[in-house]
Amino acid sequence: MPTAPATPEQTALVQSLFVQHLPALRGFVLSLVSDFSLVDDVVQETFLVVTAKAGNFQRGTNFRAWAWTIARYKVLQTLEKNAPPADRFAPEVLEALSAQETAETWFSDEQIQHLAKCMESLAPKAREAVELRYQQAHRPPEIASRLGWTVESVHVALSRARVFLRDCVTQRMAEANP
Amino acid sequence: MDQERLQCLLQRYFDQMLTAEERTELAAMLLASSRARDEFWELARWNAVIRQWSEAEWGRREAESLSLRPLPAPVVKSAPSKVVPFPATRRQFWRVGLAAAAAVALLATAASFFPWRSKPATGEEALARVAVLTHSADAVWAEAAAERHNGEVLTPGWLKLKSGAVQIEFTRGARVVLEGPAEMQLLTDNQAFLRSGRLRAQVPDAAHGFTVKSSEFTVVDHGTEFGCDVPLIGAAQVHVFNGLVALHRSQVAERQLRKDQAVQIEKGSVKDIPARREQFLSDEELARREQASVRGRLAAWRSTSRFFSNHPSSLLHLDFEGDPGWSRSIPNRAWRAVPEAPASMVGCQSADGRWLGKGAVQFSRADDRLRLNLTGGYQSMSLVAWVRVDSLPDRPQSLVMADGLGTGDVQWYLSRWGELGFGVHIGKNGDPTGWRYHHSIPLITEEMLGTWLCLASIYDGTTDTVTHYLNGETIGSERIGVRTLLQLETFEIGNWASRPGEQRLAGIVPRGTGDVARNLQGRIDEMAIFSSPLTADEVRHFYQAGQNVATQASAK
Repeated sequence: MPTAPATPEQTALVQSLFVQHLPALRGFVLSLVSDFSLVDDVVQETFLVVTAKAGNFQRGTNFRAWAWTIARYKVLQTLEKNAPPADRFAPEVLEALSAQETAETWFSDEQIQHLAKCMESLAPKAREAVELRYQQAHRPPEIASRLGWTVESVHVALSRARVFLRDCVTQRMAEANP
Repeated sequence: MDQERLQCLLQRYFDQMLTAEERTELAAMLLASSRARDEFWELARWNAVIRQWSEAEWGRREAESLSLRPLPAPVVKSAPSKVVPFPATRRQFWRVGLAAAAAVALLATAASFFPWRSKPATGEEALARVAVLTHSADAVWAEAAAERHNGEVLTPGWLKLKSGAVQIEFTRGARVVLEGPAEMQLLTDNQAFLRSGRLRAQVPDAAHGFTVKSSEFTVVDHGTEFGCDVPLIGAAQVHVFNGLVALHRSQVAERQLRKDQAVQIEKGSVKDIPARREQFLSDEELARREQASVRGRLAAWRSTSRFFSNHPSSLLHLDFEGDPGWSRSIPNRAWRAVPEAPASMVGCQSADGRWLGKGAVQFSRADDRLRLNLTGGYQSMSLVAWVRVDSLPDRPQSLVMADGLGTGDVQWYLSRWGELGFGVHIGKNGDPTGWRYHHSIPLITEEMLGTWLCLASIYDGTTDTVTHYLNGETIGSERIGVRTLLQLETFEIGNWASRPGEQRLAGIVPRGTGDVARNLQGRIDEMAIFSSPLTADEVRHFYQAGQNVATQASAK
C-alpha cells in the first residue's frame, strides 16, 4: 500500500496509540519469538514502521489489528535474520497463531499485583531460577551452570513455577472477587 | 491430540529448549488444532505477565540501587508511566529512544492540546516551579499561545502581557502585581527580569533578597514593599514604599533606598524623585478590577449556558448557580429534568467556581459526593464538565460513576496517570469483569492542578466510538465494543458508591486491598449529560462559552 504523507497530528495519534498498546504488543511479540533478546528489536522496528506509515492509519479504525499485522511481519523478518530454520516456526504457523490472538487485554494491573505476592511464596531456589530467566533473560543452559543444576532440572523448575504462579494468581483473584 | 504432550512441548518452547523434531511436532499440533493454539496463547500470556513483572522489578531494583526516586507520575512530558513505567535497564537503550520518541509525540500533540504551554518542556529548568499566577484582571497576553490562567503554576520563562494586570506569587513568598504592557522573565523562585512594564512587589521576610533585574539596574529587596517602572521609551524608576532596597548598577557603587525614596535612572544617571504609591497598581485595586471583569464574564456565560440546558438531548445540566443553602441540593436545569429530582450534596461544600461569584462544589474528603438519578437507556451519551483537579493521588478519581455493575452502566473518571477514562459495563448484571473502557493519553499534568479544565467524553452508539476532549480539542477516539444501551440510573458525581468486593475488577482496578477510595479531589462548577453524541463544534462551544479568560471589553 502506498504511504500517504502523515500530518503531525496523525503521527502523534499513532505514536500515542502505540505507547498505549505497548505492554500487550511486547507480550504478543515475545510469544512468537520466544527469545527475550529479540523482542526489543521487533518492537522498535514495528514502532518505526508504524510511525512511517502513520498517514495510512485511519482515525477510529482498529489500531491494534493494524499494528499487530506490522509486528507479525517484523517477527517473520527478525526470525529469518536471527534464527536458523530449525529454531523457528514456519510462517504459516505464526500466521495461524496470530489469527487466534484477539484478547482485548493481556493482563491487568491486578494480576501483576497478585503476581508480586505469589513470587514471594515461590521456593527460594525456584525463585532464583525464575529471576535468572525472566529478569535477566538467561537461557536454561546458562541458568544451569550458574546454579549448578542440570538443564533439564532448570526447565522442570521453570515449568513448575509457571504453573504455580498461574494457579496462585488465579486463586488470589477469585478470593478477592467472590 | 495428546494433551500432556502438548503442554510439555509448549513449556519447552517458552524455555527455548525445543529440539528441531520437537518443534516440528509442536508446529503440526498448532496448525491442526485451534484448541492447541488457545493453549499456546494461554501459556504465552502467563509467560508474558511474568516477564513484564520481572522486567519492572529489575528496573525498580536497579533504580533503588542507584538510589533514584521514581519520578512522580503522571507528567505528559515523559512517556506515560502506565506503559513505560521503569527506567531502562542495561539492555534496553533503544527503549529510551522509544520513550523519548513517544514523549516527543505526546509533546508535539500536547502543544496543540495546551496552547498556552508553548515553552519547550525539556530539561531541568522546565520542571522547576517558581511561581503561581494568583489573580488577573482583563489580562490580554501578547501571544495567544502563551496565555496564562488563574491558578496556573509558572515555570522559568517569559510573561508577555499586552494589557491588563496579573498578580504572581513567587514560591519563596514575594508577591508581585505586574501591569501591562509588560514583558517579564521569571528566572528563579526569587528573581525576575523586567524588560518592560510596571510592577509592585510585596516581599515578606521569608523572601528576603527578592531581586528584580532590568537592563539598567538590579534591585535587591531587604524587606517589604517597592515598585519598578521600566517604560519602553523613557526613564526607568524605582520607588520604595516600605523597608529598604539595594540598587545596583554596573560599575557603580550600590545605593540604598529607604521608605518613601524614589529614583529615576536614565542613560546611566540617577536622579531623586518623589515616591508615588498611586503610580503602581495595588493588590486591592487589582482585586477590584478582577471582580468587575468577572461580572462581565459571568453574565456572558449565564446567557450562553442556557443553550446547554435547552439542548434537545439535554438530560442533566448542573450549573451550580444559586446558593444551595440548607436544602443541600443542586437543581438540574435540563429542560426535561424532573424538578423534584435535583442532585443531593453529600459531604461536599459549596465553593467558588471559575470566577469569583460563580458557584461550584468542592470535593475533598473520601465521602464527598453528589448523588443523582437518571432513568432510561441511551444509544449514545455525552458527558461534559468544567473541573478543577486539585491533586493527583495515586489512584483513579471519579467524575460520573453509575452505582453498580449493571449492563450498560457508565463510568467516567480520571485514571491515576491523569488519563480521561470512559467505561461501559457490557457483561451480565453483576459481572465484575464486564467493563469495556477507553483511556485517553495522560492529560492532567502537575502544572495543571488548580486550573479549570473543560473535559468531555462522547460515546456515539452509531459508530461505537468514544471520543475524548480537553478544552474543546479532540484528544483521541477509539471503538470500544459496546452493544448495549447506556444507563446511569442512580449514580454519583465525584465519587463511586461501589459495594465492597465489587470494585475489585471494575474498569478501574485498585492496587491493593485497602485501596478503594475513588473520590475526586477538586471542584466541579458545571456538568452536563446529553443523550446524543455532541459534535466537535458543540463541545468547542461548551468550552468557549465557559472559558476562564477575561475579555478586554468587560470591566473598566
